[in-house]
Amino acid sequence: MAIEPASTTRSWLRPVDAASLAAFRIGFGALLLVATLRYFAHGWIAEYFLLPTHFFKYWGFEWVRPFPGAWMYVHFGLMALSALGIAFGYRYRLSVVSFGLLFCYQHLIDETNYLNHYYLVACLCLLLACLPLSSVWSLDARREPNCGRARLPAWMLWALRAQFALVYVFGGLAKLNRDWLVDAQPLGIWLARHQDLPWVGGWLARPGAAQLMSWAGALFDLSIVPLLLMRRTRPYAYVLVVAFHLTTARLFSIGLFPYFMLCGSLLFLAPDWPRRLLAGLGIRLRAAGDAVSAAEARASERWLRPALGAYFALQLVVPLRHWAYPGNMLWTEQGFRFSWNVMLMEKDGAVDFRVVERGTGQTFHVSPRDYFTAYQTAMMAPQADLVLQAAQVVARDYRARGVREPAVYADAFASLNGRPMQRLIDPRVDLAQERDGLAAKTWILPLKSDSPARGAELTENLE
Amino acid sequence: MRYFSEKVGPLIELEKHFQVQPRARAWRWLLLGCAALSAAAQGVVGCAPEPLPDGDRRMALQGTTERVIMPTHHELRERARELSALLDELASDPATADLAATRQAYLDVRGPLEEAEAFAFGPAEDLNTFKSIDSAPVDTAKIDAELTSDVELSATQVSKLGTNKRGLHAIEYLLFPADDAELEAALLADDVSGERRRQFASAAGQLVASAARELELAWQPEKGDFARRFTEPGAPDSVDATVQAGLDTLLNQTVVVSEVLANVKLGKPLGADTGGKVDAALQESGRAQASLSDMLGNLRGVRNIYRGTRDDERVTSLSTLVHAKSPAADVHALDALDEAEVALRDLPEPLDDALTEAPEKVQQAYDAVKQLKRVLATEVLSTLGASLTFSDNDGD
Repeated sequence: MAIEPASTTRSWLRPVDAASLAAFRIGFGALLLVATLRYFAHGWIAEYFLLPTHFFKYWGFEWVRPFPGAWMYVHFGLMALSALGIAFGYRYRLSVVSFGLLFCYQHLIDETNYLNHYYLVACLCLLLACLPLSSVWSLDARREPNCGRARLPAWMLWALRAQFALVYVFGGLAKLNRDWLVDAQPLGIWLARHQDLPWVGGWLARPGAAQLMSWAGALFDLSIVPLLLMRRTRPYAYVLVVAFHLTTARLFSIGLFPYFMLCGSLLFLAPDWPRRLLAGLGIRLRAAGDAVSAAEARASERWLRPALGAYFALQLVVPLRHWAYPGNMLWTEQGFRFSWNVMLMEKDGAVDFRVVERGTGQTFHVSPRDYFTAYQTAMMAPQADLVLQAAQVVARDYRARGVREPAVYADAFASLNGRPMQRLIDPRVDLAQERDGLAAKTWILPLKSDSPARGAELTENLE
Repeated sequence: MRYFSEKVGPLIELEKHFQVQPRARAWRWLLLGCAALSAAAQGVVGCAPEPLPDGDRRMALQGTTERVIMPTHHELRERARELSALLDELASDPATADLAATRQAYLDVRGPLEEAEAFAFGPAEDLNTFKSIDSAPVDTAKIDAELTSDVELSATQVSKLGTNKRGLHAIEYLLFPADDAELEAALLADDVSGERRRQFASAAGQLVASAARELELAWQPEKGDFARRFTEPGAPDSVDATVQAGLDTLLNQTVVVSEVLANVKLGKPLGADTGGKVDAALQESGRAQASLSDMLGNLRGVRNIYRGTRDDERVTSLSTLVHAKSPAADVHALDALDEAEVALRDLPEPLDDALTEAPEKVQQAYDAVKQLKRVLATEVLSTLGASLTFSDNDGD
């Protein structure tokens, strides 16, 4: 049934070797398995889902709750099984859809757990659910040889390449700011932490190192996609990719992010690279089936255009939405998430609440630690929208305790990229009356210093 | 959808070129490059750090441990031993015992103990030292029940009681009977009741001395060797993989102590969380009228860790590290420490009087300590790139 279309009129439907897509599926599934097992190994399931009594909700997903007791362990166990299913290509669609849903559910439970690479995983799961990546080198292809395809339409490869390209390009664009390029922050702070590294520690602590690495990092992010796409530069570019991500993996606590990117960057190599690599090692794998038929390809085109168009249009717009908000994005964090703002800031905060009963004026000083874990508190304090959520948790609690019309004010302070701390939120605004949403948060106070270097010279007026 | 045909289309055309077999030389380059980089990275990543010339951060970690942590633990052990000896004397010969000296010995233990709270990690957590020595409040009804029972009041027996029935605050309950002359008389009474009180105090004192000794030894080479394991990161038995992780631990504990000082030790009796309902009974050392000196001890501990010394000399420390990156942040931290200390010293003693006579001054002290916590938790942490290490989860 699978007949090679002699000449596909559309180049984006032209079949390409499915080997690199299969290799990506195997690598991605393996990384997902490791990522899931780390939750068991580090005790994060209890720490993030069972110990907290209150959670920070994503707008529109307030209904998402952790499962009680052992059920969260079951949840992660199912994620691990699904990740295995993806890697081995066993009931692939079911595996990738179930992993995606389970992963997104746990990720949506608490906003303090947001990480850029978790968002990347969610995006990739969505794409993978649309792509038959188990067409080769999978248990599915072995089980049902008729479904095996040695070649798949080129758009499938390009869809995944585009996803990784977005991470690099927007990550690079986000670095085109004064903190990064002029003041070499936050790298200046982070690199100095590694003074005791053998051989390179002394060099890393020098101010020039941060400056050099800041520029190199931005240049890398902005140029690596075209360098990977061009045949002449591709081998050197991939060596650069390996060097870059291994360095970031060593220097920064960013978990599996570098490995996801290393895995994804392999998609930019020639589609048959795994087959030729194995052949070079004397291993020849039998490919099941041949290529997607012209009829299949055209059938997929009917839904492909609008779906992919809408998805990538959204992917282009979402990271740019911060321009719709006033102020420094790193300070306000409006439009910060889901935008590939990777490794851009060292921001620490401290917050306390004042609850005032309107009728009597009676004031209660409230520590967020009365409601949230230490980890949640540390994550929440420098993020204004999460401080708002915390204030509303406090307001609800005081209402339940019988305090009529509690007004909740935040004494929230933060320090961004080495600047002196300053108030993040207007202390006169009753956060119990504010509502979260997409509108600009006018109660976030503007960042006083546009430069960490200038900010560091300030020695007065901490507020 | 023209976007796809016009923009993506040409890109996909590139794929035709990509499908051309790359030259073998390019493949060799790629594989060799990756292998070389992996090997180099493993060399940097995997090997235990080689001995390096002492960088500032390593010097700060070692210096703070040698100049602050270990001497404070030693002083705590010595003071606890002295208190225990005096309580033993009181138990064995109440007629000649110097009750005033014993009470002063109790107060003298609290100084280094409160300072040591600023570095209550590692062995202090493993040995449960502070819970064992300084649990507050104690359950006085249960202590009274033990006193009136006929259970033997040896150190072994008392150690089996919950931490809220022994430790320094149990001794405080017995040694400092507030204004109740009967209780003081009971302590010195030449009868079974008095004897059991003195036995209980003596047993509790022995346990405090034992816990302080265990804590000091855990940092010494002959037992736990924690000081070496803490200050020489990267070795197989080291506490941390990097020097910075050790500094993060120091810094984090100063934030925790500042928060406890503000929210619990000052905030609770001030009624900060109860709408201003002052409750002097919620202070830590009310009977001994040592609440303010306890708080000053905590603050001294934070300052010592930050400045890397117990005296005024300028040494390589967290302070100098912060200063090197941001002089302003260091000035803010030192100012915040000074202002918190001035505000606490400005309170009339004891805290009971301050709470009733000058609650506005207690509020000022509360605000000053809060400000200290904010500066440490934001500017200082941020300048050193430290994180509040409540979790080992990934970033970004």
